[in-house]
Amino acid sequence: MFCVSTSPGSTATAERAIDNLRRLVAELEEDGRRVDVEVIDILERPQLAEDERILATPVVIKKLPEPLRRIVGDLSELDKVLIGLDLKEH
Amino acid sequence: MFPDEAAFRSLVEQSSDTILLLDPAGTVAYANPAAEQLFGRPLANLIGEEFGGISTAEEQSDIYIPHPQRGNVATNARSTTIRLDDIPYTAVYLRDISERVQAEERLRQSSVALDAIDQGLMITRPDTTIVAVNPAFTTITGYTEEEALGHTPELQRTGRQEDEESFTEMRRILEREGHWTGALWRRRKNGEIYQEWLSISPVHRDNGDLMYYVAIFSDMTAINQLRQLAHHDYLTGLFNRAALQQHLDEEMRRTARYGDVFSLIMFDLDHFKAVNDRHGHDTGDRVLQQVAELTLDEVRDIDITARWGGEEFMILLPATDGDQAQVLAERIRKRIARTAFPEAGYITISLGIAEVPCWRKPAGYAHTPGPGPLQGQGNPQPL
Repeated sequence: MFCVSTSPGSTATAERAIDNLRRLVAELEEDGRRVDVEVIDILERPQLAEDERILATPVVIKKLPEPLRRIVGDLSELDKVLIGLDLKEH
Repeated sequence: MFPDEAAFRSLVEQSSDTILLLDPAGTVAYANPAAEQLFGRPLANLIGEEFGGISTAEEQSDIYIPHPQRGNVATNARSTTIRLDDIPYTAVYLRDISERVQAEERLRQSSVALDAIDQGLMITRPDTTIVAVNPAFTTITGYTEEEALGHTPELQRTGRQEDEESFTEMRRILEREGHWTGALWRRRKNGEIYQEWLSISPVHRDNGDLMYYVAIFSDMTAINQLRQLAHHDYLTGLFNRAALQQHLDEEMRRTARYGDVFSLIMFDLDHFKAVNDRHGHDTGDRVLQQVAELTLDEVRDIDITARWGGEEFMILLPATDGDQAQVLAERIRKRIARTAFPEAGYITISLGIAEVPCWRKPAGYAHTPGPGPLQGQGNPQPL
């Protein structure tokens, strides 16, 4: 996940997104899936964000299993996020 | 039919909000011209890029756009699904709210500092609705943050006519000059009326529009008490010697300028030492307090009554000649002589009168209040 957790006003949104990501991970792990998550502050690693061609934050990028998927926002609609990341059938 | 397709296109293209159309894979299929500014890149470099799906709380949420020059631009995002040729596209509407976010952040940072100070802080919108207060606000006014927010400073009006007028005048000056500093009488939640020293300044947007008023205030009760202590005798509450001297100087100047006349009455308690010796100093103190009360009861509002020292009292009578002063002096003497003091019994006083300037001095009285009263201790003479 890429976010901005230190810029004016953005902290609350980033915290909400990270909380929702935790819930999402917990749900996936309950299903017996193994999940590796990395949270990256784009202010700390701007090159990485550029390499990933990030257009908006917070954004979660699912690398594996393929296909690559990304979801922008605070991830509050858990089901929609799972479907969007191709981790759940529509 | 109107609006036709060209009209719709120009509606979208001229929007100041950014509008994106994302295909089901989250790739930008369309971006309106406003997107160039928000993303800081030409449209050609935006279309075909992967934005991603969008998931936000309720209808709208804040997301941040990394801009090559402006850093992370805060936007308010809304999205909706649009089916085109039966393919579900996502329309994303992004509104740049960075100015508001920065202003709120600045406000938040200043309030963190202002939370720590003991002066009250109140931030209002231009319509005077309270949007922020600090802990000292609650300490001074008694109103909690929840009780104050959403209300206006009307909450603290005293209801007194003269205070209403001061408040209206303050609003008038604030609107005309933009800021105001001064003292106002306000009411605490517990009903107590107090005076506050208040400074109100405006906060403007970048375009000059008024955004907030910031009011910083302190409770003047303590300073008023200090002032009271500095000018008043702690025991009797009368003016002290320094305060009387000040009034005396003013009255001398006034008299010299306008050729007016004023008078002084000085008196002391006969055998006061014996009262102290016999009944103790606490009783002596109470006698002095009762004498002060009786005297205040006899004098006029404009007269200045002071405890000159020990058991000596002095009354300054503006615009009063010696004859009139004599009438008042006699009233005070009789009033005290007829009073049975609860612990000390009957007490007499000796008085002296002076008229200023002194060329019309009344027969039988000193023309200055001298080092002591005229009548000797224990021999009060009829005036």
